[in-house]
Amino acid sequence: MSGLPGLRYLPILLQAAVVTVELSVVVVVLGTALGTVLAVLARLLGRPGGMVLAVYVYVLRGVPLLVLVFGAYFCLPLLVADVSKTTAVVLAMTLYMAAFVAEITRGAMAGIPRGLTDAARSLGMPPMLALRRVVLPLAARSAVPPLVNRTVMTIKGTSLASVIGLWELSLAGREIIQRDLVPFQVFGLIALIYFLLCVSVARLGARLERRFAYEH
Amino acid sequence: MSTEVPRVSIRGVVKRFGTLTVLDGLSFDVHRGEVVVLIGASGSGKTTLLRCINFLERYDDGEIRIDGELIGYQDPPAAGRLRTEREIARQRTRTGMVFQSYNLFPHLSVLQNVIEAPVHVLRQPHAEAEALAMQLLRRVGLEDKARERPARLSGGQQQRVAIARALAMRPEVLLLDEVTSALDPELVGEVLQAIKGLAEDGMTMVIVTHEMQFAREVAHRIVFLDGGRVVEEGPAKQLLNDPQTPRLQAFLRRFREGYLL
Repeated sequence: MSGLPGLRYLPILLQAAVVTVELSVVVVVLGTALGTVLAVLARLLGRPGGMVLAVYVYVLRGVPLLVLVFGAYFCLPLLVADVSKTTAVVLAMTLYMAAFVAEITRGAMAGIPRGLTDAARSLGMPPMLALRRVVLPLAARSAVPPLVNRTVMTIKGTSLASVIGLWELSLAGREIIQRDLVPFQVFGLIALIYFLLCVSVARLGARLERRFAYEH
Repeated sequence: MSTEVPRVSIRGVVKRFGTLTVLDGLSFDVHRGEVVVLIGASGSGKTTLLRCINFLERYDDGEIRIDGELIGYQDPPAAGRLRTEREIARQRTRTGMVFQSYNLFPHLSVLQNVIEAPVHVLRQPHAEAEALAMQLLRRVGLEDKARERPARLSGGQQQRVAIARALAMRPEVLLLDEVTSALDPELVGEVLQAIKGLAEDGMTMVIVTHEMQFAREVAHRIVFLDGGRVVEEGPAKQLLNDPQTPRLQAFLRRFREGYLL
């Protein structure tokens, strides 16, 4: 242990990291899906849809994630029904992520040259088909880098689940530190684990970007 | 020819952008197998008219009919109610459009560009669509480029792919909007040659062009637009050799000074 201090905490931290990864995957998948659907609906509904989306984006993006997590955990039981810690965190983070993804997707779709959508329409594609076959595949390419960015933020954001006592990487680390008073080793390990998770996502994103790439 | 329903009938079409009237009640017909070339200065409404025929732009008044069917609006036109998106999309398949800037889908190969709409809009079986696409690509001299991405092709090649893509929908009318304007001079010929071939095969076409020599060779009829109105129309050679109106005379004089006619 003298050579590699804190290594004995690694198994428990990795176990907690699995929770972090699970949370992240669920939130990223749901948040990306919801955000994309919102942006697509807003586009299909024209100006009124755009305004509703703008309000959603401004509100959710303008509120700290911490407040959303507290809100979901403490307010939902008063208004609707009891929710588990996991549900509260997933709900808050999904809505939060969806706001960013909707804005990313909207921007990516708006950046597609008018001529290409004209071409799709002139070939008789109804709006949904043009969206599916032309607009979204083209938008996906420019959306990948900001989406990767957002995914990284989300992974790190899951640490906020610890404030309502959901056991994941950050909370597990804090428990160990409070018990054994070894802040440097444990924080070091936690940082390393987060870092590796985020680097993996970034690498995956770079591969996706290459896969979607086309020449202009 | 005068008793049959025209392939394209344009009657009193008006299009305004805000306070600007781009099309000011213009009318003319295009018959089956006929090639009509629209000429006129920039801003005379040529491109807008093509976009209205394809209903990429809504016209504000008048009627555009293809084989008697009112485009974009529900019949009778007095109702002024738009058709459903699905119906408008179906109507658009009857008019193939080729754009000045090609507008090929950059994420798809040449072949995929051509079969995209036949497969997903007309629901043709993939193999059938591909066979037709290869035939069309052969016709425009690009079958060896079928697997390439558009960005790998020259402007002239891209424009020929765009023509093949429009033809793959087996449109009743082909609308060509300044299809050589974005091309380097040495690439213009190959595209015009492809269009001439279509004219010889009896394709009905409405062509906007600034290539007067080409207009003379390919057009059955030329329609001269100015200020959103038809100022003069007639058989190509007659209209170019013996313009009747001062405005067309002035327009052609400007061309003679700048270009070979």
